[in-house]
Amino acid sequence: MPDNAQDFAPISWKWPQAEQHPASGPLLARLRSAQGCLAPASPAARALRRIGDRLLRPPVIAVLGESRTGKTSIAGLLLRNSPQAASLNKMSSLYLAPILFRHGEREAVCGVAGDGGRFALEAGEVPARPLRYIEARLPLDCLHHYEVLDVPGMADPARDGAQLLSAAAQYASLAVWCTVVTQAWKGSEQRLWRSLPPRLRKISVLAAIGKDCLRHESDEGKVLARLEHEAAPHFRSIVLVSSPQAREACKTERDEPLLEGLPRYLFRLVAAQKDRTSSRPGRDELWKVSGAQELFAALSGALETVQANRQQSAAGAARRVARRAIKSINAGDPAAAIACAWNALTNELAGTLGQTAVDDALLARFAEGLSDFASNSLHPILGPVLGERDCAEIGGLFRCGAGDLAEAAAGLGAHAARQQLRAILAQLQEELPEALGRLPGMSGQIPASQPLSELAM
Amino acid sequence: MRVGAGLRAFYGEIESLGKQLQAVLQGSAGEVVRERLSMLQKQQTQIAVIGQIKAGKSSFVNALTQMPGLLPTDVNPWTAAVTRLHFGDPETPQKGALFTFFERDEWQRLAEGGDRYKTLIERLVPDYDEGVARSQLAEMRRRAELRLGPHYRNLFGQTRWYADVTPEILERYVCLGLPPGEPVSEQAAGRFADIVKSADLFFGEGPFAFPATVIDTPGTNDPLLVLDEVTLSAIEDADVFVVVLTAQQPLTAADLALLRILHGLRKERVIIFINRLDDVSEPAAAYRTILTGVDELLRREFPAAQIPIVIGSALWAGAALRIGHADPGMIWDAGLIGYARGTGVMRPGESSFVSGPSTLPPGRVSEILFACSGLPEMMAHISELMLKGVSGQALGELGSTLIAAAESSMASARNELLGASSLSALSTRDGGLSDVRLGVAEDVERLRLLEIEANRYLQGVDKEVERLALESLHPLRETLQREISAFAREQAAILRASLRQGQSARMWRCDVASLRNRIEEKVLQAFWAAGRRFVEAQRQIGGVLRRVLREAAPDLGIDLQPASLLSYNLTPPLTALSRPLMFDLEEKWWQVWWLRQAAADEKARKIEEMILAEFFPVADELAMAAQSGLRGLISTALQPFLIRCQSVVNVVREREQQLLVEQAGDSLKAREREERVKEVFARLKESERLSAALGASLKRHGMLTDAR
Repeated sequence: MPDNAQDFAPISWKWPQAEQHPASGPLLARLRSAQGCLAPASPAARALRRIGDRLLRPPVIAVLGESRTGKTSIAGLLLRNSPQAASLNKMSSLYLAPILFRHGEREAVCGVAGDGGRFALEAGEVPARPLRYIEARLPLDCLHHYEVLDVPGMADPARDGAQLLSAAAQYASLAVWCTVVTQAWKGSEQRLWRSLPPRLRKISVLAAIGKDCLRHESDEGKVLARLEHEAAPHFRSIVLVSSPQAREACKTERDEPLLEGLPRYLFRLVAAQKDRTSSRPGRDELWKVSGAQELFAALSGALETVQANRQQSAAGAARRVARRAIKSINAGDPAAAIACAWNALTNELAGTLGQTAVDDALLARFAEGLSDFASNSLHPILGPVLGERDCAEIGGLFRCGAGDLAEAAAGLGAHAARQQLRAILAQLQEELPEALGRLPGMSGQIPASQPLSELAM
Repeated sequence: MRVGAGLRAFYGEIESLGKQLQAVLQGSAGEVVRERLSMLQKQQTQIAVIGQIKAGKSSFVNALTQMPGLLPTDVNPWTAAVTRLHFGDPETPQKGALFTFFERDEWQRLAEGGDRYKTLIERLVPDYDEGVARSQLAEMRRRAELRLGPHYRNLFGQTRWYADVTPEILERYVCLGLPPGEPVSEQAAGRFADIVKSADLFFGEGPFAFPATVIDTPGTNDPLLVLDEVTLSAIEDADVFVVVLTAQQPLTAADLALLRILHGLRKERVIIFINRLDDVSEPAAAYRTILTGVDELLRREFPAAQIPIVIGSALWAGAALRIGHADPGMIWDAGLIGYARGTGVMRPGESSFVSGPSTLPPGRVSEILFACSGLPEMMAHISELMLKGVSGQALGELGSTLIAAAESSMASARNELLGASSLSALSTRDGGLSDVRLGVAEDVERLRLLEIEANRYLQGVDKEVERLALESLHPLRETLQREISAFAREQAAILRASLRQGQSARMWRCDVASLRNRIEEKVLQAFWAAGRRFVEAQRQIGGVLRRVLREAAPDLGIDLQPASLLSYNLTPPLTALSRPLMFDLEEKWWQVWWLRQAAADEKARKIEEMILAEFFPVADELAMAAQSGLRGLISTALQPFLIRCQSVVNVVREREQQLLVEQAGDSLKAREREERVKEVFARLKESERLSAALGASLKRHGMLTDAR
């Protein structure tokens, strides 16, 4: 889909995906290699996969607030003023259910039930099952970076605000609480906000919307001062926003009259300026004046915290899984320990094979990996059980020098050479269980594979 | 346009007719009328302006009273104290301001008990601390000390009087001021905010045709604690309630909670003003939707009430009033012009946004702004409701009483005329006068007995009617308690059943709204039953008098029609029902409560107990309020009936007197009698005229009369 605002620096604001994030990226890599050493169906591998997936999943920004506070316009900004998103958003108020915008290659909508089950949802039709929230998929680039949860208005007499809110809080990584600047931070809002988990409150942003309704320049400072006094302890940051201007700043078509959305106190000023220069203020200036810049800066900060928290908890969870896995290996299954190490090696080698040309360095890496496996994994595990002789015999299977490999691959094209190397690995893989079949019951400390140990640290 | 012109006209008519009647009346009836007329002088209307914070209440008051800029307003919540603006009250000064500080113990109580929400939570989950326990008292002390110095305590109980009301003085006393960081200057806004209980500002008549008090209140917005005690007590007696909403967020849950409380007070005298239309970016496109939305919600919530809804902007009204002093400047924007055109206030092509208001004559600009502001409609609605308020009702009651007095005068005049004609017939008869005298003596004796009988019935007739009417309210308390107990058992059973089915207790939610509805229904039923009983009781008592009348003066058509309560606002006070209870707390607190309960049966038993503990006091209060409410109604409503009853006794006595005079042979000479007859005849005609004029006046001003 056309992303109108892509050319405009402020709105192309992106939160780095987990993969590119300086801290999360390495953790994800470690998770993957540890998974590689485990049997894919093992509980530990599945747990690590889940941890990785969770870390990869973009954080969810929930847009909350009482009814008619400008939530939709904030959600609109976060969704790049996508018209599809705007029309989908209407379903949210139709069903009085939150709507979660996620990335998808094609536009799609479904209902999500309390147990997480998804079902088809036609606008206007009665949902087939009790609706927990609506999931909308949109091919918007920004949704790779964060997802947006728009929650229909609370404190609307027709709705039970507190319930909807606590349901939404479950899914949110952080929230933007929208309030009307001229009536900001009412008692009813305070009570609703207080009912949310502190985890969420601490990192969320209070957006006072309707900056354009203020009539005097000094009002802005006054409102901010009051909000700082009354609301600062409950939020990460507080910003004043004027949605029409922010929207205006995102537009590429410039032929619409701009005066409409200006704060009233700026109105005269800009009108006068317009007469003089007959040009409109720059989009960057608008973006800044609208408060959107500050909002997005605040969101960046909050997302950074979210990411740090997520990473911390992911690392902690991974550590626990790895430790449990090592423990069970240590509990006396040498075959599993060796399989684990072998898996780690073949995964790594297969990875290398796909990436580089078949050259001396690659062959050296291959040979080195196999001999490492023999001396660092096989030998310590099998030695105490089988004795040196038998152990050396098995180890010998894997000790092929770089020269041997070069010989095997000599005269072949790159593709065939790769095939050849893969065949060698496959053959070794077949021989390994046979060799291990000679193992009697064993006990004692057996070192686990390296990636798993690293993760457990 | 003057506010309350209708009430003023009604007042004028009743007062003038009353004075004329007073001249005609004889004996005690004249006294009663004189007394009631003098009480009229004290009549005034109270208009309370309430709503959420920053709805623009103070701006609305400024616009309504046509004193733009008087009450200070700000972009932040600003009004801290209840402010009463008195207009044209003959008993107060016509200029000046009086500020009353809290008494020390009042302040202490307010500071300690101010957080009703906290109290509720503590009642539900004792010793559960989650930072809700804001230390309000300490905070208030700290603030008072910062603003007023260490000796602020000496100020308690004091009042301050200023001969001139200026916005600066008001700022110091009734504004919240900025959050204090350090000691503030003597003149700073909000300096006395923490200790001012109320402010009374005095003016001449202003825009009001009838004495009026406009009450500006601090904003409220917590749906659970919509009105604090101070505000509630300040507005409890108001005649007209203006609920100010905002066009941006019309009718939120907090607004509805507020309306529910008013519904419990006096639902028929509410006007909704949707303010701040100027904040909406395209008012012309939006206003109809906003109006319909609010209207639909109100119909759903209060199907029986007819609440006028007006949309507009106090800001526009303020600008209209300032034209000539200040440029409307920024207010004259595209939104306003679109709205003025869309509603037909402005003619097409009259002026444009770009050309600004300067192309129009100032008078026209002011006219447009005022018409768009909604103030003209508000003034009309307020005027109408003033008629239905306490003053209008008092006038209506007085009118009914005056009609009864006029009728009683008519009866007495007719009586005299009939007596005179029968006597003149006697005196012209030849001979047999002594026979006649003998018959007269018997008649006198008969009348004397009838008078004694009538008087005996009349003694304490008011108490008797009241007793009979109140009797039907006696079982109310028990009825309500039964209703509550049944509900509690029902809920406990539902909870038990759902727990047995393996559902989590947290899924269960006590639906106290249905109990509140049931209670309201029972109270209303009992109240209406009492109203019917009131009429029956009068019929019973009237029956005896009617017989007396038939025997004593069969030729006189005195109508002993009972007074009804129908012309009164027959709503018992239901405020107690609106009080927040534990069951109104959010789910979060209930989750804590559930966690603390052990066995399923225990949970159900506790819930049952809690329902009883929370609602029994409500039942007690409602039953008492219904009793005292009815008693108050009866004492005024009964008056016309009492006057008519009294006139029966008077007629009997007069007839007796005439006969005695006749018996003594001291009859008037024919000529004198003729004079006397003429005079009485004139009195009869005058009384008839006045009675008809009073009836017409009541009808004209929309008062149901029970006279005819």
